[in-house]
Amino acid sequence: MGEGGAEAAAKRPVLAASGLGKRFGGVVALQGVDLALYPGEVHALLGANGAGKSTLVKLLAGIEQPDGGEIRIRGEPVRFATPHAALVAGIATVHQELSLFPSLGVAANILITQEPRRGRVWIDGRALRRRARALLEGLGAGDIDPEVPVSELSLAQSQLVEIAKALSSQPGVLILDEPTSALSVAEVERLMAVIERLRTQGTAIVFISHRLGEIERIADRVSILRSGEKVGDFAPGDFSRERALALMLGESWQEGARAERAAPAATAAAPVLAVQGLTLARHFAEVSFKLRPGEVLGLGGLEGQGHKEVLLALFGVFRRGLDGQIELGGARLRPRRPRQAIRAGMAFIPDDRKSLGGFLGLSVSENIAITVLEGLCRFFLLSGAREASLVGGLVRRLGIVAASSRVALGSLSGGNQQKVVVAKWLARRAAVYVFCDPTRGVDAGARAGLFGIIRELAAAGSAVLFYSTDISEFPLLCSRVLVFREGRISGALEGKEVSEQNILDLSFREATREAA
Amino acid sequence: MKPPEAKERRRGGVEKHAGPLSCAVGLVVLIGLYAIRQPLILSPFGLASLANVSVALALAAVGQTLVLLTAGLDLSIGAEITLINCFAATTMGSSALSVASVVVASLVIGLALGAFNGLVVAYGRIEPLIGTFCTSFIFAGSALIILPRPGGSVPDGFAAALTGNWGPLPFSLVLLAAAVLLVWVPVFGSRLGRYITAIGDDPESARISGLPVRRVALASYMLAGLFSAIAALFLAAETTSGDPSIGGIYTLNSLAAAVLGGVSLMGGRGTVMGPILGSFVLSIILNALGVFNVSAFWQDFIEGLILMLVLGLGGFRVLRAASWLAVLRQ
Repeated sequence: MGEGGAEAAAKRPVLAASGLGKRFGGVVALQGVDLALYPGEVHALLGANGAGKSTLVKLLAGIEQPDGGEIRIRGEPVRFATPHAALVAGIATVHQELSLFPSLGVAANILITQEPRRGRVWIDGRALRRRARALLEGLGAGDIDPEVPVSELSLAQSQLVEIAKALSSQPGVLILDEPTSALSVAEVERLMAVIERLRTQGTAIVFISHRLGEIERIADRVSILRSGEKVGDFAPGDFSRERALALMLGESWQEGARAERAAPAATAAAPVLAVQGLTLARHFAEVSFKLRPGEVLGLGGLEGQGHKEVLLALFGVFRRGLDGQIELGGARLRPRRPRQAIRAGMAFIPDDRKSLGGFLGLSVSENIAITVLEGLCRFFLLSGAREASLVGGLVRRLGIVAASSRVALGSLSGGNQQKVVVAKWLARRAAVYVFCDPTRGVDAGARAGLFGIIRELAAAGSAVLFYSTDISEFPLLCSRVLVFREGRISGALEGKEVSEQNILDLSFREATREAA
Repeated sequence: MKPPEAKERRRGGVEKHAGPLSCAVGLVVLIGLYAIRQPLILSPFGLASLANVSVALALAAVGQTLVLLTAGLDLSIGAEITLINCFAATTMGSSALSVASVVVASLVIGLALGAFNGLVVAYGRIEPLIGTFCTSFIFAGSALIILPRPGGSVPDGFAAALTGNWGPLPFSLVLLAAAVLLVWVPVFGSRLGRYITAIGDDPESARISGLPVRRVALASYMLAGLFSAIAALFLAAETTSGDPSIGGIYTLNSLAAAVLGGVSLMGGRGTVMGPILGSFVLSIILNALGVFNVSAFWQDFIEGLILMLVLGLGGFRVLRAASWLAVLRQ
């Protein structure tokens, strides 16, 4: 923390964390992170997905307890057993997911659990509204009526209410976790003004955003996280975009494109899937692309940019509100239910195999056969012999390790469970395979196995759509990547251009342009 | 690699049958206790009468199990039984032709009432708990319109055909076995049974896998209605009349018998023998209250406690562990 110089020495940090670490199972989410928050300063946290930003926030907010290191508040070491303990110690957090009660009024929400009372029992409605109004006016949001239910407010207004609620306990530290991600330009301006006002009032603010422009504008200090470690920080006035990007990317910045690229080449065949102007309000807009047999097309970008929703929409998860055209195998498709998408030839391997895709209580055999039972029936009774031969073949082909195909899916290892889910679709011989973050929570060996299967599928002429929250996987698999930013395709990368660096560049593109 | 998974498999097998096995043990113990007080119970006539008091509940519980397997719930089973019982007793007449046509009509009505439940729950997207509770009033109300007070009659031949016995073998058990063989076995030998279990195991996976979720739910309620109809006909034979209050107890008791027999309230797990044995255990306990001279005023009270215990135990098992064995292991 020496970079702060004389100024930092003069001020004492309101919160100082040193050597913070956190593991989840065998995965290190955070390691040896130091952080000092000074009153009247905005401290930005910057990092790619999975860099450890949200883990750090959870430790500071008392949602998770650190395995190592300590947190001091005004010099006193503290341990937060609960989020409430952190709040009492003066750390208030506004999470990305708002925690308001939509049917309660604004004032009731702001002062929930600390309602002013008369005679210890009766809520003093007048004092409640007065205090809520004072808090809102302190944010320059006096136009929000304390009496209307929160459900009638816009998202930006609700966020201001959430901030007012956080400020009601007069915290020394306010953490804002990606507060701007869902706001319009005008709303961001207003929020920036609020943050500046809080800064002059002496609050220490932690600000998380993916938008470099916002960080340049509002942050006094910046800490960069990568793979759970703090890899650099910037003192006031020192921030540079290039260095920040380089720190976020790590070695891959120097390495450039990876040598071990094994992405299959696209064929010249006619597209099996053509998407034109696909739009779903609040998720994505004007998405168009073509997918050819034998191709692995990646949908990349930071988390929450609408690309995952595009895949869900193609699979018929959204019943209403979808605009644009989808052609699958030459026929128009308007999927309102997964069943329709599956009939048209689509297969979907989802991210959360615990709840989506597999039946943990059913046997391996029952899981694999479930999509093709029609074909396994004699008259109307299931033929055990046909089922056994289908399942046996797929178990061998994918190398599924199980004592027998009659054991419950839930008793298999994670990687084998996932193979079973893939086998289920192979049984159907789908035309388009959609892999939606399939490696989340999967170990390295299983990941390699899954990549092998995906390459094999493409080599055999299937078309594959691939989405992952781990950007490093795209160069290993994809011949083409569409990068999404705020619900739109911000750029396409092909062949040698597919690299982590280029994907991140496109993910941050608008911010980069502002600099030019 | 193999040993742990093989062990897992064995345990899975034992757990699956834990409900039926513990019910079978409980049944033997109960009959033994019963016999100490009332030795006649071990005679062919005594066993037949025990079977007769249990079979209607067993049929209702098997129907309830089909719905529970899809992670649904049918609170209208008692009302279905009441309505069909009143219909059969008021229309059966005495000719063989009219008896046969009323039996067929009763089964069709059972399917139709179940279809109504299925439409409300699966297509109308009303929670099973609320939806079937509402339809139960429609069904029970219709029964009162048909037959406002106990009455009607069924021919003696029909009654004898369902409640008599052939040596030590009561016809009621033959009826139960036939219902299971003709309905349960084909359903679970075909796609439908596989889908029923899959949907109960994980409804979201079922949707993602493209299963016809709503049609399968509809079918499960229809099959429950069919079993209700068989139970209603059996009750008509047993009492040789109709009664607009006869079915009430079967709603909660069928649920308790299924849970006692190891059927999961969360869906996806259950056998056919479990609820049948559970029904016998529950019926004998409730029947014993009378034999042991428990005052009629206290019988409802104690019955309520027993049901709460059984259903609470089911909830406990569902939340905490896979089966009684798992509970005992803790």
